[in-house]
Amino acid sequence: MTYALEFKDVSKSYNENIAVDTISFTVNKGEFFSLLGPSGCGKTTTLRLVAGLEEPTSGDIFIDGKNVNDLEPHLRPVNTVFQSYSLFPHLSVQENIVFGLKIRKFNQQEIEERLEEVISIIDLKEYLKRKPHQLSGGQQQRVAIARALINKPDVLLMDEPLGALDLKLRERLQVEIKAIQESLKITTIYVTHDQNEALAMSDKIAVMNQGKILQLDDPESLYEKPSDPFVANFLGNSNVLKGKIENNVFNSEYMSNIKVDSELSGNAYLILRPEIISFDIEPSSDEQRNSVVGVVEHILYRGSWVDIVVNVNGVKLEISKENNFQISLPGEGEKLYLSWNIKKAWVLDGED
Amino acid sequence: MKISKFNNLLGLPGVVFLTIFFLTPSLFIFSYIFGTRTPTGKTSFDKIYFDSFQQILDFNVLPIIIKSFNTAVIVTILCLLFGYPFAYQIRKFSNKYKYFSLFLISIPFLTNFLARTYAWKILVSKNGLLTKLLSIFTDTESLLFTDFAVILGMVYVYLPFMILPIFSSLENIEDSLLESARDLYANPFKTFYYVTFKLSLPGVIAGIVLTFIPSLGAYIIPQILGGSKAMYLGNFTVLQYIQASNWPLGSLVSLIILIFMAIAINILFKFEGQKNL
Amino acid sequence: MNVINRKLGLKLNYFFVLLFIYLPIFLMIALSFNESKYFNQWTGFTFKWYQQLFENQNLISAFNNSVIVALSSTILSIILGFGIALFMFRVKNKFSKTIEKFIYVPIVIPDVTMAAMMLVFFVFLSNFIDLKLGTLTTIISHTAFNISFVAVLIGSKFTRKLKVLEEAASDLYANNFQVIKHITLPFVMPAIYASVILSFILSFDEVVISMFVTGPGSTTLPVYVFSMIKKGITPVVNSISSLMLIFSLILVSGVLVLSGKDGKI
Repeated sequence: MTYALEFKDVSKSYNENIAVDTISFTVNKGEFFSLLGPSGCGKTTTLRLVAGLEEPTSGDIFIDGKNVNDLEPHLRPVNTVFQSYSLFPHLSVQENIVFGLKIRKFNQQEIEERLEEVISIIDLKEYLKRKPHQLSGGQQQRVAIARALINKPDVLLMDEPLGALDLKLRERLQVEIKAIQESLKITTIYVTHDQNEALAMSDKIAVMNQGKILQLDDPESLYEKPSDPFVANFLGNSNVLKGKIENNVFNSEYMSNIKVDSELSGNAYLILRPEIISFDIEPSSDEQRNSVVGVVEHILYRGSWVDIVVNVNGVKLEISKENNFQISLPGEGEKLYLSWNIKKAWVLDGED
Repeated sequence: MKISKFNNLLGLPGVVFLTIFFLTPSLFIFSYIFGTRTPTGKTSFDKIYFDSFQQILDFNVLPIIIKSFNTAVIVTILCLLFGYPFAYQIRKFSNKYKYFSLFLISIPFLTNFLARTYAWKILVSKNGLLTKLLSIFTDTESLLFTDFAVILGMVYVYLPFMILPIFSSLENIEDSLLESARDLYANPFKTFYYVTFKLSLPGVIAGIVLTFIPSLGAYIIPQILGGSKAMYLGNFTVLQYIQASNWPLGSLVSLIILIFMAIAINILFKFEGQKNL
Repeated sequence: MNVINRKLGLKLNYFFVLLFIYLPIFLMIALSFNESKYFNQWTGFTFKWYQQLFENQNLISAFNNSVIVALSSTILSIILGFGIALFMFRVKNKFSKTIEKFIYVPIVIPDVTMAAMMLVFFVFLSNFIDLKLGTLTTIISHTAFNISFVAVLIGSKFTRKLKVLEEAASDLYANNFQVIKHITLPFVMPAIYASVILSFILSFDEVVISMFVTGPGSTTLPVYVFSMIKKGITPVVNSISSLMLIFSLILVSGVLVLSGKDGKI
């Protein structure tokens, strides 16, 4: 089976700066694949390597089975939606969209057919004749996507396309983009630093940091079973505790005698997702649960849920509870008992 | 990769042209310093001569260098003195008057400077307006062919060169910066000194460079306003080439002008680099 | 210092400077219409000094030479300068960084030094090839400094934004030529127009270098006028100077209008 995209030990460095450090991965046809990580982790560089806008220092890149290392951007069957829209300011929306077709000398009929197709997917009819600067951010974004899609690329690349938009617009476009991608079954590589976005849209996510891929998995696995403390921290709020495990008991500087469901021993990380922690004014007597006591530091009201930060012997644990208006919330400074089901905590091997 | 080869090729014709027709001539000048003038007016290179250096001393070139330098300094200071307030004033105007003033200043900036120098000559001649004006106060009969006329003429021609860069950097200072300074208890004078002036320094330096360097090597202006007796570096150089056919000496003096220029630019840019708010 | 005094001082300086700059110009233009040869008496309005210009064969041929030289050096410098600007924008290695520094030299170099350089060079060359000082040498010399102005002026328009647009275009299948044709050129067109006018003016007005490297029969207008001025103040000089001034004025207005459309230079 040929992969839509394959990276084999690809590195990219600028003088002494290593932007991408020997990464390998594959992307299946029709997959929505995200590169997720903080600024400077190498995700945008990786994307540009696919587009051909950067050359790999070492390693091989294959698109649809073909080695494209020496292939220039304008010869690759990929199209990019850039971060800052990059619509050609001197051309109208329509001229922007059909640019790739005109350059390749498609005839007028084909151009019109494809334009109709794209417009039926992305609603742009109203402003085809306008110039980019007359459009809002969201509209420009749709044009950029249309401009890429009309060329029916083998791989669609998107570089943080929703970064500059406000929350509501972002959420709406996330749904739209995902819907388009699914209906067209187009292989998409999506770069973002927003973990919620990646979790919501992707089939697979590669979490990157400092040029390396730390974990590549589907969203559920990444969130519930991170393989690395960085990944655990990056995806969602989580409480990551460092300590030692011996005989199914986890001990750390801040907590001791925590039962864990794990075969590991030695240095380890205990990862507690806020959602699995319950609170009460009395300790839990359930044998299946661990129980610790702490003092409430802040309560952050988030509307549909509430974040509570509890100080347990010096470490701050964050818990999240749905706001169902019935359970009374603890006040700041109050003593609070936290508990969680032993099996729901996640344990990672620590370094020696 | 083909793209980078292409990009390199783009610059090639221009770089080659400049190498042949700019870099090489500059090297030639350098080598001519070590020739000597033959009786027929040609230059001989049969051995390395240092005559030109000797002639710098013999022909009293040092006073000329000093005079040109002093003149350039005076001209630059005068341009700064009148030019900075002018730029500052324009900045205060509303857009309409701002751009109109800019237009007024830019026209002389690029219009024929020969014509402008000549216009100034009219003013300072025997019966010229300025001469008449000054003869009320002093005894001068004719301003023409005096150092004073040359200095004023240079200020006249180079003033826009000082105004435009200063204005440009003043424009870049956002009002919000000034407002923050006032908010932090700085009085108008302090605001000006610590904020406005310091931030306009790049423009001031550019203006100084664009005024000082042409003043140093000026030829046309001293020639027209100072007459053939006026001895500045520029005139002296031209004299060596056109009349005296003493190319080694002329080349050496050209080089001196060039070195002054390089030193001036270096000092000024180091000065800019060191400034901090 | 009193606030009012300061404001007044600034305004006074403003008008004084404008007066200082424009009074001689107006005077000169006015005098070009003066019947009398002497500028301290006004004896009537006349066009005769302008008429004399058009009868002066030497002057007319000098004008033609200037136009030819200016046009040729402009065309040459635009092509070469654009290439250098694009090169500096796209290639970032040690070589291009050196060029970036040295490209300013022809701009700041004193014209006397450059004049001497070119003379020495051409005379040396004439020992080996049949080269005489004339129109060609003038064109070459003017191009030598114009290239830098063009490269810097056009270069200032090459921004990050353009880089993204060029990448977008090549992402959309445009090869090098197509990117330049469809994206780069339209983007920097205002700077190109401004460069054309600037080069033309700089070449047309140039005196010292031309003086050194032209030969008999290929004198340029400024050189000719300069020799007239050196001889003294004749009304004909008034009229030709006024004409040159107005000619430059029209060109400069063109620059400002074009760069105004796009923003400041």
